Amino acid sequence: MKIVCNISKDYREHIELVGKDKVHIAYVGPASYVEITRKYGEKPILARLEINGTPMFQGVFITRKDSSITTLRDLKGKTFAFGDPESTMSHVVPLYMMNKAGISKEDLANHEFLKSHQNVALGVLMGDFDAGAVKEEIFHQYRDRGLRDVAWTPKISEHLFIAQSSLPEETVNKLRTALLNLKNESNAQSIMSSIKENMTALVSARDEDYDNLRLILTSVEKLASEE
Amino acid sequence: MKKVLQSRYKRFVFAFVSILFIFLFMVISIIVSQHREMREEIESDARHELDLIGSFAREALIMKDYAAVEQFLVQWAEEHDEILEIKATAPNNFVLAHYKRFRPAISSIDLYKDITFENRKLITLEMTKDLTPAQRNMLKLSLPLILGSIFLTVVIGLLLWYAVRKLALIPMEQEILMREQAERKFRLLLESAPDAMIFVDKEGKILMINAQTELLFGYNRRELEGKEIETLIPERLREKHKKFREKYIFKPEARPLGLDMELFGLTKKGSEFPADISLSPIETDEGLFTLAAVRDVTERKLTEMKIRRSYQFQEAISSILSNSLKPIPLEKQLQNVLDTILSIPGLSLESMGCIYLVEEDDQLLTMKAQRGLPEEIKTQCARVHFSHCLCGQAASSREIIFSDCTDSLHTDHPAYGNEKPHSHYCVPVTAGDKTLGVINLVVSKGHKRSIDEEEMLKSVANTIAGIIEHSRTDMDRQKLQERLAHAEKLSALGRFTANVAHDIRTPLTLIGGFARRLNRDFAEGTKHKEYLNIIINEVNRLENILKNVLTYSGHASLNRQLNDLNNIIQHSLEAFQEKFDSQAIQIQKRLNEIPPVILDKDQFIEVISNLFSNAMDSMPSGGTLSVLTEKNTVQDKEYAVVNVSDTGEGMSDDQLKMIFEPFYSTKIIGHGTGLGLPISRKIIEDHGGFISVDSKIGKGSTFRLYIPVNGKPDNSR
Repeated sequence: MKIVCNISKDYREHIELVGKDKVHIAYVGPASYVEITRKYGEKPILARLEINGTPMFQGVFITRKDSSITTLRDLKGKTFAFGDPESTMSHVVPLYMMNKAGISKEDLANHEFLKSHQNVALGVLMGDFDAGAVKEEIFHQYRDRGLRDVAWTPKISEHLFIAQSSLPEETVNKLRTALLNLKNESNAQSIMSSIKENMTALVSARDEDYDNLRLILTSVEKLASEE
Repeated sequence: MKKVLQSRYKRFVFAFVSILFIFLFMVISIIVSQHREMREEIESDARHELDLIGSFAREALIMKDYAAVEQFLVQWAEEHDEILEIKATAPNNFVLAHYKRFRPAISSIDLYKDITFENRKLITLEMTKDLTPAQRNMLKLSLPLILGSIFLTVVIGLLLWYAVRKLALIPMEQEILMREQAERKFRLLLESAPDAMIFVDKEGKILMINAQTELLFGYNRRELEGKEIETLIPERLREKHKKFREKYIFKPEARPLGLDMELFGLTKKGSEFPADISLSPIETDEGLFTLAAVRDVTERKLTEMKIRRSYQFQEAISSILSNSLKPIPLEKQLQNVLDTILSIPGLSLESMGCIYLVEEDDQLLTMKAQRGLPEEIKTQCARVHFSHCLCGQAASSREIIFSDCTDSLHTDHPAYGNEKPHSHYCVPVTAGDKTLGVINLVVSKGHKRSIDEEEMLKSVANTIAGIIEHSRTDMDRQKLQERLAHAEKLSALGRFTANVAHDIRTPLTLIGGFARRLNRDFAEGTKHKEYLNIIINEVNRLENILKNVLTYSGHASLNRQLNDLNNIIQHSLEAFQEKFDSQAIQIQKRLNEIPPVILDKDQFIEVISNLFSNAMDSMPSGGTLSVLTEKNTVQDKEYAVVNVSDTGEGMSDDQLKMIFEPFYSTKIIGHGTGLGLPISRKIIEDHGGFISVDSKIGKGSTFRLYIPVNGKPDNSR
């Protein structure tokens, strides 16, 4: 059987490709999933990732160890680094949290979107930014080089595999079972680590698991439309 | 031999090895510089690399893609094994990326770069690159090169050495050997030469000399070799010699010895000597050399001079001799002699000199000839006593006296002129044990007295002595002849007188006899008696004269018997006593014991009577008459001597010459016969004896009668 692997240019293209059912199976981030379901309706969920034994992950506001910032309010007048604008933990959720804390983008002296979480962490460490937002694992990765956490985001369900909405139920089930049983395969470790570092298994997931994210995204969208 | 030769090439070998070393050094330095260039290249590459990394990091950092920078750096470092460490440090000292390889490195370079954007420092990049492999590679590359070049150098060196030795050194060595042998032979030849040999190059530098040269000039060869030849030439001739030498180079000609060129050598001690120098040019590949043979001709010159001198003297002597034959007076003769001596070259100063002769007074020199003497000297030194002045000393010592003007011997004669320093030669002219005279020559100052010259002067003096003697003998002979003529005259006169006397004697005896007979017949006091007495006296006188004339003319006969002289004298004194008393004459007699002598008593009494009578005549107003008898030996013959001295008037030399001449009398005419002393002398001489007389005017005279003791008695009669 011939398998075609398609890697999209960016979040938007990916969302459209998967939403319009152009692929049979897709690997998507939690924010993309929420977007796809909101725009194109539900898609059958196959499985979600389990990292270090948990299928949830959270983001963290970071600053340098020697920084004076201790709360989100301290971010006022500071420079701030976001990751990709579409990134859940490096933009969407942190922006939601900042709003909740009463800090808008305009309150920041400057903010920039960097391409990756690593860049955000390194940008803060380099001193180019006073603070930034990254996902948990990146914080852990760079903490020892001089990072300190300021605030944590709510836990969000992990990345997930979804199928074509038009795919027959039987095939979907077969695929789900295969993925959930992946951890029992002999070569599971190499396959998993190729998907994501520290991945321990693929576990079952439901649409509700992404509701808290859906809420956050809605509120953020509202904020954007208000502006 | 080989060792010697090799040591000779020390310099050559040294140069050769040096060149090889320089070659090697150049090769190695090229390799090393290559090495350095390579290293520089690596460094510049590394810098370019860092620039590249930097430009990437810059772009990424501008894009705020920090992770990309980190990832890229680490990945780059991982991929490039030669990178030991890479480090990216933010301005806040955050280390963005750091990669380090823990590996020992022999050599490394550290590079550093600041990445900026719009004057803002973005990051500092540090990179350490390991050069060990490059170094190793370079070493791997250059070691064989260096070893190869060393090997090549050695091989080239050996080949070249072999070639040079084969092609140049061995023939050169052989040539040098030959040359050395030739040189040794030359040196041997040089050494064996009897003359001083000097080998000189065309610049006049002395290259080689022999032992004779060392001996002649007093230098040792090390002192001379390398010096200019002019070192051996007196200062005053050096310039001239240099010019000669410069001309000689263009026209070198062999010059034999003996050209008599008036050349001089200068010894180390600074003394000069006349030299004869031969020159032999020697043309060689190395240019012109000259071999000079130097001979000290001092001896020869001296001998030549001696011969010349001797010839001059001989010439002078022969000229003197030939002149001496001319019948001219002695004084003129002496003038000629003096002029001849003075004409000897180089002897006298301005032909000044004089000749003295000894005349009657044998302690006095009288100037007989002079030339060029100042007037004052002519008068001052006209007469010089023996032992006085230089001439007197020469006369008394009978030795040649030479006195330099600086000499203490030199007697100062201001008249010679002090501005004309001079010396003297005083040469005595002697014959047997007699000094005949002195030649005084004024010679120039600093004239060196020499034995040869003195010998020659002596022979001149002897020649002069001969001339003087000859001249004197000539004079004596003339005198003798005169006397002979005189004697002959007298002899003739005597015979005539004897005949006349004989003829007169008989009539005179008759006149006397008859006069005495007549005298008896006349009474005393008569005129006739008085006249007769006069006749008798005069006849007696005449008889007396006749007797004397006969005695003098040898016509009287002798009757010699052994007699006691003292006795005869005693009797004679008694006979004269009355007369002495009347004239107040004192008698002083000392009659010593003398052997009896054989003589004619009557005649001797007459001699004594003559002397007494003369003494009385010389002392008219009294005096002392001394009579002394003694025995004396003259010329090995024994004589009884009778001294009769008076204190009378004395006689002059001129008178003394005449007293023994017949008919010469100091007495008033008619008073004496003028035959007393001549007869006395004749009587004494007839007895084999002689009379001598000393007299001084105003002091008196002394007569000495010498009668031989061993005479023979006359028994014939």
